[in-house]
Amino acid sequence: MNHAVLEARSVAKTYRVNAGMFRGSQALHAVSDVSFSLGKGEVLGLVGESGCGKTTMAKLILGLETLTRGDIFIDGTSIREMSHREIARRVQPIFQDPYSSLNPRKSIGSIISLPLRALGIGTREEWEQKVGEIMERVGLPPRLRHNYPNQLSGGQRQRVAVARALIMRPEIVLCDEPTSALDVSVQAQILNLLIDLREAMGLTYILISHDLAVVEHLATKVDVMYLGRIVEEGPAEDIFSDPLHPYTQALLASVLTPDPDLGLPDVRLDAEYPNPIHMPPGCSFHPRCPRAEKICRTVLPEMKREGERRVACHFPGPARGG
Amino acid sequence: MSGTTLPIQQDSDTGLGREVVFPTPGQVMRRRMRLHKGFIAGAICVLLVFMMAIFAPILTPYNPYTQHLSERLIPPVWDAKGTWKHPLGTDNLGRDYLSRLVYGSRVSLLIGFSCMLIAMVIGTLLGMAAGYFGGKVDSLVGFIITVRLALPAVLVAVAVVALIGGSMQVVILVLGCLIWDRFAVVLRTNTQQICSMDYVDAARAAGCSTFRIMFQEILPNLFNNLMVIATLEIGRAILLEAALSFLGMGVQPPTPSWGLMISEGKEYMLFQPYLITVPGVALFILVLGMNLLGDGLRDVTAPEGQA
Amino acid sequence: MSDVLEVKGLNVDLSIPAGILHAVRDVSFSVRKGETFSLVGESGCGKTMTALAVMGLLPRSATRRAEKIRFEGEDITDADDTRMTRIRGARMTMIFQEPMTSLDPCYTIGDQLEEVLLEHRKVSRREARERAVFLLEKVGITAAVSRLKQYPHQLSGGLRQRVMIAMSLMCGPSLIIADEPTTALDVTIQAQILSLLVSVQKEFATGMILITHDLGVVARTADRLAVMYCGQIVETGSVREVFRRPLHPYTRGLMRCIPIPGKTRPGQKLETIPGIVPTPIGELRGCPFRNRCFFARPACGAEEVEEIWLSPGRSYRCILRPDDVMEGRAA
Repeated sequence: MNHAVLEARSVAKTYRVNAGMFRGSQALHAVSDVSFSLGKGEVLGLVGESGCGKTTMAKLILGLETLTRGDIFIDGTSIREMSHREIARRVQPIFQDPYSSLNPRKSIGSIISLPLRALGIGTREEWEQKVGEIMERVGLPPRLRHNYPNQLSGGQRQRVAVARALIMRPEIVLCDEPTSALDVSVQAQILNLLIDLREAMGLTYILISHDLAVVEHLATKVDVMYLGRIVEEGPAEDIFSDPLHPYTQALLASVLTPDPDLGLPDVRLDAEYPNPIHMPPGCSFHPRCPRAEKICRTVLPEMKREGERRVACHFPGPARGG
Repeated sequence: MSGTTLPIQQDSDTGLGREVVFPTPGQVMRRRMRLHKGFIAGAICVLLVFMMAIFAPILTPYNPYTQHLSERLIPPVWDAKGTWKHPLGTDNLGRDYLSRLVYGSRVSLLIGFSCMLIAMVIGTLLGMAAGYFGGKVDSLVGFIITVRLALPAVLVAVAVVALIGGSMQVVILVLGCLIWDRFAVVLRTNTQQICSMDYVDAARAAGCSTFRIMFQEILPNLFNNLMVIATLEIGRAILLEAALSFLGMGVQPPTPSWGLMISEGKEYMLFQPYLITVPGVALFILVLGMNLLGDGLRDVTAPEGQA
Repeated sequence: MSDVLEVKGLNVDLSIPAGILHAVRDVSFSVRKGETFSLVGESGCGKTMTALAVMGLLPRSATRRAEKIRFEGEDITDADDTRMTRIRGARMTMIFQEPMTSLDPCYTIGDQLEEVLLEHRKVSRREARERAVFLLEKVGITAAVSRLKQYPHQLSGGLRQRVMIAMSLMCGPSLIIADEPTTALDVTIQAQILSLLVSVQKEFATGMILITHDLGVVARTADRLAVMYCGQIVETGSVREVFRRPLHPYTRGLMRCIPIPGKTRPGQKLETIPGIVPTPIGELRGCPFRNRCFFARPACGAEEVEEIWLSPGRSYRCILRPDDVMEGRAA
């Protein structure tokens, strides 16, 4: 039994936003009552569209935002009791945009060694050596350490981001859309690198992505988020072969695989993605759900558990009809 | 693509297109500096005045304070009655005008730089704090800026000097504490933009302290704008000092200051206009040079693809 | 000839400090009425430049040379800006990638829609408004009349893109160029917008050039496609033909490096195309893909590689024979 490397318990994050000139501030529930746990060596895929709260979850786990309610435990210790530096030793991020995740005024060597220098680990010679090692690990020629980010390609920059994340041997790597901003052929290189490193360094990943093909390829466990809540969770194979929540089904149906014999999917989702400030009552998905009934409009569905799977729906089950 | 930075080609030509090597930000800046006419013109003007200030003793044999009462109000050498003994003439107390001008440049430059430095420290700290912390800190700094902008700098300076008395130190301190507003406003916005970049989040996630993030991650990216504003503020400080000295509220006589020289010459304006035009032209050249330099720096350090 | 657009020998050169960037090299293709033709490739391959060249919207530092560009039977190879302005927006329209920035935030949706029609045709404001309402409903926007008074910031990304589609249809164009129309949208909206595009296109019998890097979008939406690499078209054909039997090593490499749920094994490493795209500056010889190609041989660098036509509409640019590529026979 894997002991949980990361555990989230009823995590909630609410922002206060200005809703207009005379309306004062309103509450934006970016994340509501999210719980999950992650074992060592697993890859958790957090899936959802824009506004679902996955980026906020990432910031909460990294300690970049404070929890409004609930708690997150890394290796059994609550992050509320951990200092920034302690969190940094355990969790490191890889961001989406390779053009904004590297400081344009710093050399590559300086960028990669930043975690070591910030936490005061090791001596100057050790930094040099570690930087060289990790650069080779991620497929970057060590001579690039004197270059600047603008001199590197998108793929190379993303490798620098990977090197920076791994130089301190964290337990958990949080990948926020790590390949979305890259070209297709470069994506494959970076994905392979991530797979390689996970095995070689015994890492645990949290993979945040809207690209379901990438998630299906890497993740061992998937959490589907919608408007700040988890609507479905389970092992990756189960979720992709037999989704139970209507939103998961719609998401999967929308994935356009490069099969010329199939036309465009008929995804029946009425209405637009709602504004998170004005959350629909009851089940937050009901305005767009093909299965919505009266109870869905008034009562928030409870999370039903079955083995390793969880669904928050009044009427979960395979998609019906066409 | 690696951004839109101008590539420099290398000679390897394999039929697969030139291998492009993108220059470092420093190289880009230096290359642009060589080509920018305004920047060069400004740099030359400023350099001339600098040279004048540094080599003052070599440029003139006279002491700017020594009065030669038998040689008062001699016009400059281009006038019929001028001599090469006093190339720029003498003032109403017989002091050699060239040496007053040359030693006056030291005063102007010293005051300009000192005021700018004080203003830079105050303005940068306020601006960065407001941009980084946001929320209440931002509101507070915003309030302070508003108050400052509501005060006319010259009047406040005059009032302070009237209370304490004028001298170089007082002028520097007062002006320095008044002209930081541009630093604060611009750097606040800049800092906000930088904070939205992922590398700031990455630095926080890497365990950097707030201090480290502000001074090692954010400040280097503010450097370009900082330099531009600094050069423009030097010009502003010099003009303000000249105005104060003109009003008798700045540097006190007999210290040579270009503003003071204009003030002392205004009684003789009609018949000995050179008493005003010589320091006036010098001021003009120095401030123009500073402004050209500042504008040029802005162009030279602008990111690719932006004006 | 039911070709709406015929392009032959299009070249676009960009003048940059490092030299001349050959952004588009000897590109030829045609688009038929009612057909969706896709230009596929990664960033920097020249697909957007090609579209801008056809529309006459190239930046000033660019030079365009073409053997022939025919639009609706008319020769527009040397058409000046005045003539292109009359065509653009009316008979040839473009939908851009970013719905957030394509609409002017200062004017209502109605104003912007009506403006398009009023610019190009002599109709009254009322007729323009009716056409706007008609098209908004066509693109699936409910309460169209009240939407006319809304401003762009009041609409979501998906709705804005629908408005862009409506705007592109205002004057009844014969060609729509869609540049990554769904890349900036959420996954569940993507399929809807693409379906909409295809259905209006078929209904109004317009030709469409769909520019994208997403092979899934191409496979499900387009009829024919052209794969671009380093400014050149390296393969063309119907979507079925190219996906079933890719002839150019780049096309083949592309298709094999994407993870496909159900096909690629999760956790297994993907096949990759090693190296990075060269920058087409200066003297260019031979096949631009040869430094990354598994099948490269010395002859690949010698001269220009001609397009080989297996049948009208099916071509590829490689010196290998089709069977060599399929069976993976290396140099």
